[in-house]
Amino acid sequence: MMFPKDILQWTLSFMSILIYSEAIDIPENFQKSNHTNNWAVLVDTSRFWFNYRHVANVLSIYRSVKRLGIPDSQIILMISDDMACNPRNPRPATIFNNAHEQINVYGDDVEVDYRGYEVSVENFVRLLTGRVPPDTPRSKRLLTDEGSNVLIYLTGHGGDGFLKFQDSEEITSQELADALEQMWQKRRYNEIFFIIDTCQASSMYEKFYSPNILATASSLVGEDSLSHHVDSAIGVYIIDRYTYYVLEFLENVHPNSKKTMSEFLAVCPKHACISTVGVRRDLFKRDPNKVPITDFFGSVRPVIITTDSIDIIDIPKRKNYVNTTQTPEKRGYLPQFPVHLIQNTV
Amino acid sequence: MGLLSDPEYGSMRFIKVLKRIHSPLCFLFYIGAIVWFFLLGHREFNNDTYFSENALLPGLVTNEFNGEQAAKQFHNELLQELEDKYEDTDEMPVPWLVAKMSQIHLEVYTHNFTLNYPLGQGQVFKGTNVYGILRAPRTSSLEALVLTVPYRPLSSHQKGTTAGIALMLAFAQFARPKKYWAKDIIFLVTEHEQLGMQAWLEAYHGLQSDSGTFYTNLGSFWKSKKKGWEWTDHSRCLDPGTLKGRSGSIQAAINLEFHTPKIKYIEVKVEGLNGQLPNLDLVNLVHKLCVKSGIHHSYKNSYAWVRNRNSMDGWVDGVWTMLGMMSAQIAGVPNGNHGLFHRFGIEAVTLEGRDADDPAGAPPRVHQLTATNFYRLGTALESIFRSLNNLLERFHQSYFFYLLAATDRFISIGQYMPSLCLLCGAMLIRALSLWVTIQKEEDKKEDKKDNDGVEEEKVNEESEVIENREGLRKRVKGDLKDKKRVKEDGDMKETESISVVSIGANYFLAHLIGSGVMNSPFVFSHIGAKYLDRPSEVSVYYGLFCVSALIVVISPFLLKLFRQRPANREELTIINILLLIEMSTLGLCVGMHNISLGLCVCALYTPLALLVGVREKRSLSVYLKQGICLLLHPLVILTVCMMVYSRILFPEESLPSALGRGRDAAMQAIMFSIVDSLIYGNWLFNVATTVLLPVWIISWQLLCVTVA
Repeated sequence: MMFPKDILQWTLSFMSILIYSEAIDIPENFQKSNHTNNWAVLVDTSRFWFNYRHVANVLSIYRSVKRLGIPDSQIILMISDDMACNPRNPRPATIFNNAHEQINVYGDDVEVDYRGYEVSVENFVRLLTGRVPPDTPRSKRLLTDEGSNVLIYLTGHGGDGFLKFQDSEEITSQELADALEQMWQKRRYNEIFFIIDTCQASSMYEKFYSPNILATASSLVGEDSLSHHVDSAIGVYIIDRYTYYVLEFLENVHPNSKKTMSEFLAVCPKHACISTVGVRRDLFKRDPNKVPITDFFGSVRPVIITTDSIDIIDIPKRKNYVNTTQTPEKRGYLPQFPVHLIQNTV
Repeated sequence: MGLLSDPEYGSMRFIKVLKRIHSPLCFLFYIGAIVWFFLLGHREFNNDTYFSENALLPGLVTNEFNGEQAAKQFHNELLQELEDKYEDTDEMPVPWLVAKMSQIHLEVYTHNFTLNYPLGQGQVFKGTNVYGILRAPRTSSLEALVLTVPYRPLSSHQKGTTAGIALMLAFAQFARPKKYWAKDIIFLVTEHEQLGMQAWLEAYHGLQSDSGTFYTNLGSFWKSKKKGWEWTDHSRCLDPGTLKGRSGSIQAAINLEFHTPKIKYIEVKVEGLNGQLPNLDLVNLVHKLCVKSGIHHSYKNSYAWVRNRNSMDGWVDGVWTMLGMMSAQIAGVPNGNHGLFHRFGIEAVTLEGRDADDPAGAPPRVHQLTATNFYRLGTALESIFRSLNNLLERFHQSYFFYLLAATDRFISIGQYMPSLCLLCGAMLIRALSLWVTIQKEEDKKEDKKDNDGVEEEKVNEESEVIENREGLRKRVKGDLKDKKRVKEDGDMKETESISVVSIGANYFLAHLIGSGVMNSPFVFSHIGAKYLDRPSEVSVYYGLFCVSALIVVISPFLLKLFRQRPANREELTIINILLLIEMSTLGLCVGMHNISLGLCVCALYTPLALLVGVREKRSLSVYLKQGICLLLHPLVILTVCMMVYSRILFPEESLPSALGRGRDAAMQAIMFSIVDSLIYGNWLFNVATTVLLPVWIISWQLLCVTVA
């Protein structure tokens, strides 16, 4: 099974040695990685000022994945409410992740793709499955393929088996599992890392049945996910515990760092989170111990900067044919009612 | 079509049981209701208060209030101003207030209103309110919060409110530069207590009588048809005028009554017009934030700094707190300016500052409490307003109908309604048993009259069993026969037993008298003012007294109108049933709106309604019942209550002077209830005259009439 792949890698490296005067190895991570691009779907499903913390949650993850290299064009950010410009916010145009106000997760350039009432169950499922209306702009599409690693992060208010979207609707765990299965069948992903930070969060991934999904949740069924602390200057619960520790962890991750997914999965022990972090590994084929965290959170491409000129041995000739012979086909109208198909009985 | 099953089968036993046990059952229900109610004061039977509204986020912000010095300065300046210029007048220092609010950079407006006193010689009172609006800096003025203080002149017999005004101004000064307000804040100083508040609220909601409504804008095409009813037209009494500046829909309001910054504790007043209450979330919020700001607070007999170790003491205190709340609710008169907001769907409470030597009495251990200062009051106010600022919708999550057993314990509508339902249930059971008795008697008569009818039915049944089609045909025939028979019986009954018309006419007449009494005070007050030169409360009281006496004398004869012969037992029983049903309906309806009034009315009148019955001859017990009935006349109840109350308040007085004081208090009370009903829309007087009085008249009739 592995033979052709090895041959390919071998020939590639061999050729590179042949071509370059100074041989540069492609980093091993990329040699071994089986995906070609990274996407992130980050969703905050709750609105209203007292849910400030959920916006802070989702922007914390946004900040991290963006810093680790996933471009805005490959991040779908759904935020239900505008906390930064809420008139109650005593620090306008900012959203902080802790009471010391060290990190402004709102940053300078947040690109929100779905906002306000656009954040709905329908839009979310359409986004995942790619069944969007034809006039949807690129920024609102999840243009993944079979080589995409997708990070899905959800936060909001949930219960056993559902996640509430705004105040009007909810998505059930079964619906979510079906949407992911549809993605798999349509070859819209290579691997998915699913994170959810709500109450009874683990109930949301229990129904998953599609392959290559690694899922983690901030709390088990029957547990509440708790907020981390209050910022008494702003007067709200500022961030949830799980995401607070996730951000603390991700802040120390760099594009070149060697941290693995198993470290990420252990990021919030029970004494810190108070709730138990749930993990589901059975659908995921690789060992999280060996999967670098940048497989999901970063988008590190094999870019090698060289100052030397490269001799390209044979230049592929571009077919330069001119389309002169083709004349547009003449078309006529068919009769509106196919009378000619009917046998004339008279 | 006739029923195949016998509807009487099985219910006969029930009827027998009901007839036997209905009187002890009614008694048990009554006792049960009272016991249930008193149990509610115990911790086991009421609940801890809690926040239902997520959006409030109470007390999460650090307090930044720094206006202590400013408040002190405002207070001194205001006192100086009042002593210099307003020593011997009741007017409000409007220029001073306008100047101060303008200096704080609020949008300042004044508002004039006029009261044409509806009774007496038609005096006219004028007043002015001052209000300033702090516009929310980063949003449109769609929602607002109100901070209000009633202005009281130095000569007022009530506690002053100067410290409240100073605190309000200092808070406005502090809040003005803040950028986090999502709602406008209206700072309002009202004149003439509740009158100014009512006028301002009516003007704010566009209820002024001369404003251009749709119909008046039609010009000469529209002619008002209300000419004949002008004297009951409430809009003529209070002309609220117009407001020059408005904000959005008001979400909540806080009323301050602080006479000095150095108060010992805050009393949170909640009872509003017609016993309406603010949402429990707002009440909780105020209590909780008082705790957080280190201010002692209380509600009626429940003092937050007194903790009962003994559950018995807790129970007694809980019951007294409930009773205190109910006594405030019964009259339906708001005990603060907050009470007028409730009618407009705005949640509001009053914070009243109290000293150790407050007229309301000294609570235990009050002298050990540290007095508050402007800083603590200011921080409490700041946290309350920042919490209200977080609101996303009107208060709707928590209870609107509840009783408080302590500052942090409540009884919801679901828990206290059974008590009222038991009282009304007792009356309904009595009504049912009376109805069953009539039916039984009629059945007996019928049985005697047509024995052949029964035989026919038997034949019918047999034929049904034999063959379907034939049976159906015969049954149809049988039905026809039945109908004929019923018709004949009905004719006989009308001539012999029950005359619906005369019952209805009597019933209608009693209610007509009630509504006449409701409108009579205008006549009495007019006559008293014009011919006898008496103040209107005296003329109204004695007028009502005379009318009542007249009713007592003539009402038994009303039954004899519209008929040739005296009423028989069945008719009187039906009247009795109607009386019981009306009484229980009244109790439930009033109790749904104002549980205190409903429970009080039911507790007093259920025994009367149960005692009333049809009697053959006058015995001693009937005279006793008549005496009870006379005692339960609404006017008598009021006068007796007032006499007892004044006896309790002034125990050192001699008996005659206490009785005189009680009578004067009763006069005042009646006058207030009439004026309240005209100006504010309090319905106590209207319910008492149009429903309670007719019910009483009918009971009196039943007690006075005997059947042959």
